[in-house]
Amino acid sequence: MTETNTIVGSNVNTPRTSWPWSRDTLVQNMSYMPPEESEALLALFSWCADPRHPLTRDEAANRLGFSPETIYQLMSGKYRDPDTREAKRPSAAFLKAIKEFLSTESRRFMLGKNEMVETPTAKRIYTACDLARESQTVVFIWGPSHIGKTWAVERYYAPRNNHGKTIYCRMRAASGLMGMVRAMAEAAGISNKSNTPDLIRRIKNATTPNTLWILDEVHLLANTYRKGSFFGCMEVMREIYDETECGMVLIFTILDDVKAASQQELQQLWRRGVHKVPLPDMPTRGDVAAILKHHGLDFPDKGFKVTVKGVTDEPRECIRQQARFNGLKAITERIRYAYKMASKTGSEKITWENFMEAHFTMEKQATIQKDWD
Amino acid sequence: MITLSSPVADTARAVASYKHELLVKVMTAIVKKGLEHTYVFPGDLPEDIVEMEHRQGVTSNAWNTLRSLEIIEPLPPSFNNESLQIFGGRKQNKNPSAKLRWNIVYRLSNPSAAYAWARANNISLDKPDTKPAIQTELILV
Repeated sequence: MTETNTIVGSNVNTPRTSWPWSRDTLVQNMSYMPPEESEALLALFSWCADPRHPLTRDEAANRLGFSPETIYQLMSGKYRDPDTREAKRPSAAFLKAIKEFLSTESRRFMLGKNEMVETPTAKRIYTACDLARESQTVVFIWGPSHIGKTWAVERYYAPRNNHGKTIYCRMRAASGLMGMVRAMAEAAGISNKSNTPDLIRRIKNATTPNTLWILDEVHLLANTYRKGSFFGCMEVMREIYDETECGMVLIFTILDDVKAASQQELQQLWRRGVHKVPLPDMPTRGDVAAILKHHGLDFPDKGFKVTVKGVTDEPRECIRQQARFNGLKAITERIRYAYKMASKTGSEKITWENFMEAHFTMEKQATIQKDWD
Repeated sequence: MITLSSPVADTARAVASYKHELLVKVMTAIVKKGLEHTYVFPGDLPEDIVEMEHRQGVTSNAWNTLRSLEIIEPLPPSFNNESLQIFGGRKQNKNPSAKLRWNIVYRLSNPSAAYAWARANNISLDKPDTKPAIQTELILV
């Protein structure tokens, strides 16, 4: 079954139009295949239809070393044995080619981007995602901003577990139910040009029990002018979960609205979330130590002092304060700046002197310099 | 598209006009390597891809042109990866005449644009081992 929606506009030769399906139609068309085979094809579709790294069907076929017609027939459910006319499954060589193609493409796409350091907090998040997938339940993860939640799922977990069954979706600010449904449809590779009930239906059709939905920044759904919109969004999530029995990870920065309604409006959803993963209210010592180690710095001992340009301070105290009040980004930005300081001296490695110099410079920038006095 | 600085653009234009065939040959080799691997750098190309007398102008402009077309992009200078032997976004070129120079490493940033460029130049980016199978039973002996 192919999409019959009319293409509006003149620019029809885009990579996306060469894939004339949505995820929900693909799930239906390939329902005769074992999950690992249909998931490989879904992963291929998701990768090539993603506007961040688009590829036409012909180009993907060229990379795989198979004909575009084979992909078309498989994805349309028309791949049949010429003699018996029975539905045929993709060959092992085809599946192997998809696996190799996706591995090369994803590694190339991430090459050169900032590396994700596996911190203890990130590992807790991976475990929570695995739990949701295995137990096919709703998992709540909540923790303050800038402790690495989004990086852990967006940059590490989702790309490494995207066998066509992990869908990462980030909620948009002040978007309400329509915005949530549209964001989920886009993440799943479904055209968002439809009304809300129809999109919800198609999202359900695109979701199988093997699917893991990772919904990030869910607390943003509460920032709408219409009272009760947040509960509406949560109930739609529950409905999708109930009807498909998929795994679902809900990530919040602020969980107050959910907790307050956990025994009232949201009791049904709250009780479905057997696994609840609260994250520490600031980056842990282990998190910071892992990041510092990655950059060749040992975690500073108590009393260890560094003097830069006549100013003396304790790196440990500086890191503790930044972790407490500003989060991980404040520390990683100081590390980035420290590399700049180190490169001025011709070194490729950073020292605590470089780190503290970066810290003092950034602190100075944050204060207003009065030049009249 | 990235606008090259005037001296670089002038040279690229001259090479594209006078040595177009050689330029496209090197660009094709870069794109093919870029598609096969996660990264591509001058050490991946055979040294004799063009004759010695044309090498410098043609190869450097092939990289510059692909970069300006946003088909390839250099890895950031802050990128280090010990297993890939890339440090500061550069990798040592082990080709004999490269004298162990540290060359910039690129990645194919837009495979779709690479295919569009290949189509515009009538070039096939097919893998060498993916020729269609011959139906041997119908061959007349």
